[in-house]
Amino acid sequence: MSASSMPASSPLGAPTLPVVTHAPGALEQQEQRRKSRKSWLLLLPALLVVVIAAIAPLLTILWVSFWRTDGLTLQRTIDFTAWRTVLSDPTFYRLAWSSVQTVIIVLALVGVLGLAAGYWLARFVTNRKLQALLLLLAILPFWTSYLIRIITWQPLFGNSGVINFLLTQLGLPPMELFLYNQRAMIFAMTSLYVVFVIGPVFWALSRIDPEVIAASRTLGASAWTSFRTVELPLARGGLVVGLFFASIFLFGDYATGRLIGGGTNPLLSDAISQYAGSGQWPIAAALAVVLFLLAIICLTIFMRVYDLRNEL
Amino acid sequence: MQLSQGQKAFRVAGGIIFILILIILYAPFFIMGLLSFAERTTAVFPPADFSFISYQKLFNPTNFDLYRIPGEPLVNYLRPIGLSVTLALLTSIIATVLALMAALAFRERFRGRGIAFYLLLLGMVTPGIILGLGFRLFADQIGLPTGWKTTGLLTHIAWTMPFGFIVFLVFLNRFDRTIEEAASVLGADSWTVFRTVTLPVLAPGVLASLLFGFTLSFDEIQRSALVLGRDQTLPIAIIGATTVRITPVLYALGSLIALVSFAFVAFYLLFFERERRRFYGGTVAEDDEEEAESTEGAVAA
Repeated sequence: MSASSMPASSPLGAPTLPVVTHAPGALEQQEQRRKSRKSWLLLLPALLVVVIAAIAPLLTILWVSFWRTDGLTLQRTIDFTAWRTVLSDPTFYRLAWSSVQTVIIVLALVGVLGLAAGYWLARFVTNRKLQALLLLLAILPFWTSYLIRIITWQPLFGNSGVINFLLTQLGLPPMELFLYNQRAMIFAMTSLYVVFVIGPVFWALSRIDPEVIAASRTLGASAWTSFRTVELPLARGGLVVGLFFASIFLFGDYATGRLIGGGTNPLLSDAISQYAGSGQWPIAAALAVVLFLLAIICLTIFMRVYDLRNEL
Repeated sequence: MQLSQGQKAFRVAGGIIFILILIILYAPFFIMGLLSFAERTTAVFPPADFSFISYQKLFNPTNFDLYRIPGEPLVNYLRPIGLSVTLALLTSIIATVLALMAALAFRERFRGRGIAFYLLLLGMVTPGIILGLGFRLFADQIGLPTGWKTTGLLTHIAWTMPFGFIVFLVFLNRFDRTIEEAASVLGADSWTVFRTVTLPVLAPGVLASLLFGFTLSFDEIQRSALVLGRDQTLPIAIIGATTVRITPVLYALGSLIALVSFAFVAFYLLFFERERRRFYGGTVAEDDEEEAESTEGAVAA
């Protein structure tokens, strides 16, 4: 957080001279209050947006999850129908589990691949210009539309798509691995979100003074030991930053699952959008509460592993 | 440096992983470019016939003579593109102003600082579909009509503002406040100090925040699907088109968007780097590099 050092508000051991008219630190306290008020005024517009577009919606969801629908109209009563449905039907448990599973697998893949790629770029590419170019190439796709990237999946991996065309040209049997199943979805998500990890890992590693590693090697550490004990802990910050942002996008991503997963293994996010689409608001709301809790648990774990505020 | 066997193996493996990632990242763009010239269908590779007709359809969506494939859906992307650009511009400007104000507030210690920090990030960390659903329900309850000017714009600001906020925190934490003090000692009032000292030094942060706002808003689908009412942004139109039938027009559109955004972002990053060097970088190699890297790290995140 901000390193700007404010003067301590009240000095210890105030002098006991008899002519003191103000209580010690009173002026500073007043100044402190003035600054506090100014800070809140500056924050006001941003917080207003957060209240209207985030806090109120979240509370509304919690509220609506206790309503019920009669036909297509919402009944504002306290009713546990939606929750009873969600909690008693094994389908929803499977849904939640497959969401959690997908997130874990994708984050693991993205983490390992991103760490390897970022580490390689930081340590083994010594030409500065080439390094900068490769880094640019690796993060550039983040700035283009992700929808544009996934709509090419079908012509790329479809039964008569590019991959199978190339395979048959090489005299190999065609495959049906990468469209409309969970594997395809996980592969697509990995390719979408690996971008988040490479950059931060690279920056975290290039902040390490090469002398530190050299020193650990001189002191007799093997390459593996110095990687494990020196570089990995330092890369951790970048890795967690990347995974944090990847999971922010991942939890709410229903389009990838629908377009590439083909709805065969729906995620919670997709189920929410489908229930909302068919006017079953209370069930959508109840599932949203579950998804929100899952996301918060995941992000809290990341903050425990590494306090992201250190990176600010 | 002498490399051990393990390191040599890792160098090869890491290089292969990196190259594979680049292939997976960029192959779709090349395929898309190729398919945008397919005349009829993109489901079978290689396409049977090539032409510019998809680009013509993209720019003349109401010219019915161009549509010769039986059952071909008629899609007009021009209006959604216009709306998405407008929304993204408005979002990025408003979100950047709000984020800058909020980040400036965080230069002081004040009561409730910790909770305010987490509240400001709420619009970013909550899964998108939840915010879309919640805002839609909330708007229905208070009788606010959904549309891009109301719920859409607010949703996009709440989503992109935290990114700008983080960018500004990173820049402000490396900000030398003595230059502000110098200006005010020399008689500048606080607004003049902000306008002539603080803002120019923060210029790269402003650029980064605007870029985040624009890109994230332009591409936003998770939150938008339920809050836009009858208005159609580009991502919504694309999703709609994919549920009907994917035609080469979509790839023509995708190719153009990819080209424009690559050119724009590359140009923007160069400009950003120049601005950053003006205030944060230059001669003292060691210190400078560290600072540059940590700020860029946050930007890319």
